[in-house]
Formats: sequence, C-alpha cells, structure tokens
Amino acid sequence: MMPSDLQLIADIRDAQDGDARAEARVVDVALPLVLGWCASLGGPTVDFEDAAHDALEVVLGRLDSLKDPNAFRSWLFGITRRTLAKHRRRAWVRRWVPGMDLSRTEDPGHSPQTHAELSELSATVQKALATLPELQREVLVLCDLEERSDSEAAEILGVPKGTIKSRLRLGRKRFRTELERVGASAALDPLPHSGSTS
Amino acid sequence: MSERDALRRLLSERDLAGAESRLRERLQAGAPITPLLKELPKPTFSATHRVKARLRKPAPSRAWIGGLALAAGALLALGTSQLPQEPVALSEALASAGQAEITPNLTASWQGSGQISGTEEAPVVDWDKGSLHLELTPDQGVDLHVRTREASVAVLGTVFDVERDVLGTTISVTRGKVQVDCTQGGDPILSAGEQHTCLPVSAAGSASRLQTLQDQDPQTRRAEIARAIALEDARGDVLSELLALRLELNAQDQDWPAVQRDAQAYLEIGGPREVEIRTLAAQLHQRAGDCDGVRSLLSAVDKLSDREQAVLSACE
Repeated sequence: MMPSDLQLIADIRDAQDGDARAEARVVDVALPLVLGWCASLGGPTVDFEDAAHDALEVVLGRLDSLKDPNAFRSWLFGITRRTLAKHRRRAWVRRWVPGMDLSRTEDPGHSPQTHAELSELSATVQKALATLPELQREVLVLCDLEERSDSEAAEILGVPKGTIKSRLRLGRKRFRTELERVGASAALDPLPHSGSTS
Repeated sequence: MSERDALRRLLSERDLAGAESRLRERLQAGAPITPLLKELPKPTFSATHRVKARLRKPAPSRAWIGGLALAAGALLALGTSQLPQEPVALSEALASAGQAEITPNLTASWQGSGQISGTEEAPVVDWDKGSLHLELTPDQGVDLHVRTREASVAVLGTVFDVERDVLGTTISVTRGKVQVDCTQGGDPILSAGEQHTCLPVSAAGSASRLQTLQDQDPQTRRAEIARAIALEDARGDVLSELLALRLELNAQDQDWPAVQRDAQAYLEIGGPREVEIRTLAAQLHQRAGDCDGVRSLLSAVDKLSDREQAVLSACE
C-alpha cells in the first residue's frame, strides 16, 4: 500500500467524522479519477463534466455509507459507472423523445466548450469504444489507457484477474475491428500489402 | 499450425483476400492501441475547476423558484439580455514540472512550485520557486496577477516568464507588456524583449544572491550587503555570512581596520567560517604587533593548522 493510500484512508475516516478539510482532500483525490473516467468512458452522447459533477455529488452524499475505505476506488468506480449509465439514458431520451431539450438537438452530449476540445480522431475513437460491451470498455480504459495492472483493474472493477485478462484480449480485438469499421484504420500503423510475414 | 504456415497455405491456395485479412489482423493485434485511446477526450485544467466549482452548490428550494422566475422576468423586462454569471473559482497547486491550460485564455508551463487562486476572469498565481512560463490571450478581459515574495506582476494579454531563484525574481517579457511592482521598490513597465530582476526581500535571500553573484562590481555588492544587514531577519548565521562577505570586500580594498571590525563582529556572533576568520584576524593582529591579540584569538582553535602555527610562531 502506498503512503498516499494510507493518507486517503485516514482522510475518508476523518471526513466520515465530519472533518470538512479531510472531505476536501478526498474530493481532490476523487475528482481527477471520476472526471477522467467520465471523459474516457462516457461516450459521444454524455457531457463528461456534467456526469462527473453528478457522480461526485453522489460520492459526497454517500461517503458516510462507505464501510471499507480500502475499497474506495472500487466504490468510486461503481458510482461513476452508474452515473454514466444514467446520463446515457438521459441522452437517449433527449434524442428520441420529441420536444425534449430542444436547445441541444445538434449534439445532445457536449457543451460547446467540450465540443471544441474534441478532435475528429478523438470522436472516432470514442464512437468505436462506445460499441464495446461495458466490461471490455472499462478494462481497456483502465489497463490500456490508464496503464493500471491486471490486479489493480480487478480490484477496481471487482472481478477476478482472469476475467480482466480475457476481457482485455477480447476488448482489444473488438476495438480494432470497430475502429476499422468507423474509419480510423488509417490511424493504425500502415499495413504492407505484401512482403515478409516474419 | 503457426501463423506463418497459415499464411503460406492461404497464399498457396491463391486466397489473397484471406491472406491479406489474416496478415492485417495479425499486424493490428500487435499494434499498440494505447496511443489511439489517448485520443479520447481528456479533462482539461479548466474542466476540473468547473466541476469543482459546481460541487456542493445548494440547490434553490422550490419555494424560491417562483421568486427567481419573477426576478429573471423583471431583469428581462429592464432590458438585461444576460444574467451575470458566477465567476469560476480557481484553486490548484503547481508542483514539479508540467504544462496545463489554466483557463481557456491562459496556459502555463512550469518547473518549480506555486499555487493558483482567484477566478477565471482574475487568476492569481503565487509563485514560490523555479521557472514559470505563461501565455495569456490578449483582449479577453482577463486580469492576471503573478506574485512572488519579491514582486507582483500585473498582466493584460502577453507571453512572459517568471523565474524565482537565489538571485530574486526575474521577469522576462516575450510579447505584450507587464507592469512589475518590486517589493523592495521599483515598478518598471516591461515591453517585449525586456527583463527585470526584483531583489530578495530577506537578508537570507540577499546573502544567497551575493554568494551567487561573486563577480558583481564591488560597489553594487557593498550596497546590497548594507541593505541586507539592515533587514529584519539579518541575524545569526545570515548576519555573520553578510559580515564575512563585507569583510572579503574590505580585504580586497586593503581596508584593514574595516576588516578587523568585521572579523570582530563576525566572531562575536559565530558562524561556519569562524576558524578562517579567526586566523585572518590573528594575522592582522600579528602584523600590528599585537601578540596578545594573536594568542587570544588562536587559543579558541582546537587544532592549529600550519598557517595558524606560523602566525603564532611569529609572535614567539
């Protein structure tokens, strides 16, 4: 366990006892994690800032109910996952129910500021990732993007290490296929049409 | 069957499409996807601030909603086209080295440490140490201030660097203009290509600066030593170091009575250069024929060096 984890656990306990400064420190740890997860896992229809804000409000509201501070990251991820699912449902409703949120008909998920920050390739990658099953998508983000170990990803997602490995393998394969399908194959290494196969 | 054999078989069967597809799949299976995943949207510095600023905002109770609607209506009726927006508060520590978009109009790269506060419209950077490079988009109504212990810099749309080290705080302007206000006096306006150093405000800082700038002209060094000795924190080792620096200048000028005074003052306080200065003072006493003074000074030295032994022997 890292010294920073020990500090986090102490802060969570103090925050549960009503220490506002400890709560602020817990937010400082949680905010970049939640915002990063919302940005990478939210998909093209979710405004990740809104989702991160809602997830953090839940975190603050339910911190008292966290029994094992050692499981903070797993608990945090669970809240983020549920919040993102809620936002995706809302985005779907906005898109398909007539008369809902007319101000956001063009791209219901992103504020203009966020929209400007997304490149074309970024949007393609986002779309390809969004087609993956939830667990494959999450494993890919935790292991390949955030470069966490199998054990760490298993702890965060609450699944066995073997499941992480298999989902990672399947996720990578499917992600590449989806990327090709949505037209980002050019972003991969150029492929020779013939020649050595060694 | 190995991958190579499988491909050979497909090629021998003239299944070129199958071979290409297999090769493509194999190559892609080995191609790292992390760089592509890094293309996913990343939260910016300002996104982090926006989320943090929105947290724990008490929602208006239902009873107020009607009142708020009426107030908004009244404002609209008065011709106000936009409701005032609440400023987004900034609060972030800058540590080690990094680069970030602090607000949509302000980017920073740094190597050192500091703290950002204020709002997106009026950011304040308190810079502790190291190099800070800031780029602010002009004409966006952003009122940026950078503060160090030695200087306060007001900026309106520019590119500039702030370096805080033992020499003080140095501000260098690349583009635009900045107004510098040095704590120790002086408030130059710097244009592109100009730079200014605000001197340390503490005696300890001045002592460090003087140690670094050994080749500065004696007159400037003397003035800076005098200024530092007059400062409030000129005590203990800091004061003795300043006295030692002044003693060196006096020795260069061969002003021996002044050297003797500085040595005496130094020895009264004590400091890391005590033995060296005690020997120098003993030499001066010996030159003046004051052998009692020599003995008195060297009696406090535990183990006499050859040089000290020679000074003592000259008196015997």
